[in-house]
Amino acid sequence: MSRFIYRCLIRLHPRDFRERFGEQMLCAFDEAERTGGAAFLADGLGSIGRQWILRSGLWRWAVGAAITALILVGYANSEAKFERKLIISEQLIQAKRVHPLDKAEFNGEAAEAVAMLARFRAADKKKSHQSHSRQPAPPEETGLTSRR
Amino acid sequence: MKLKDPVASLLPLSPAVLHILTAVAGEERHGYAIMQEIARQSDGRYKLGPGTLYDNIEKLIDRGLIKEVARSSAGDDPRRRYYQLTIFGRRVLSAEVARLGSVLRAAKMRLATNGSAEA
Repeated sequence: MSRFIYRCLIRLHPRDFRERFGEQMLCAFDEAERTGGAAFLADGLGSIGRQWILRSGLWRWAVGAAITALILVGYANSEAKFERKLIISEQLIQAKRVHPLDKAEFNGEAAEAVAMLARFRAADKKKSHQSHSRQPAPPEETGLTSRR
Repeated sequence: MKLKDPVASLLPLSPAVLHILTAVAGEERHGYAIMQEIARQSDGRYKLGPGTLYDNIEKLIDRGLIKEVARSSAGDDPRRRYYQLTIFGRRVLSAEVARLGSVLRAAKMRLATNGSAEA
């Protein structure tokens, strides 16, 4: 089974390389299969990558494609961010529409708060007045004390 | 204009290339024998698969460091090809060994200095 897979991997190599070394690779695989196994399959996959990308000069295309993909992803990301912002602002507008400010209710609560403040103020005044009336009158200045 | 030294331009060698050149330096070997020799050199710590091996062999042949030689013995698999180090390959390997030697010397000296400072 692994030999069949390895044969397929060899077939995936570039034609020039396959014709030059394919049989030798399979020969080495047959001789070393007992010791290698799955490691050789991974090695074969790595070899395909190296042959197609590095040796054939395809890496230039790969780098170009990677840069283009990065730019596209960045652009898409910025678009998504902008769209998210739009959605949030739209949601805020809708929330305002659903729960508009109730002016009558606000006025009632404000009036109540003002009345409460007035009550507090009156109570404060009353308290301070009572404390003033309880305080003993300051001693009148005599000629003796003033002379000292 | 100063021409680049062809030997120096190939250094430092990758571990795979260094092992392959060392394996074929003594005698010509076929792919599987190179893989076995590399495993023996590294006490089984470095194992090369056929993909990496032939990928590097292609590169080394194209750069003129090794060459294919005709050799077959009775009972040999007809698919086998033997490889041998070229004169240029020997020069490159010698330069790499000298480079590694100087790195080793420097490392040993630093370690010895550090060791005496710690003691």
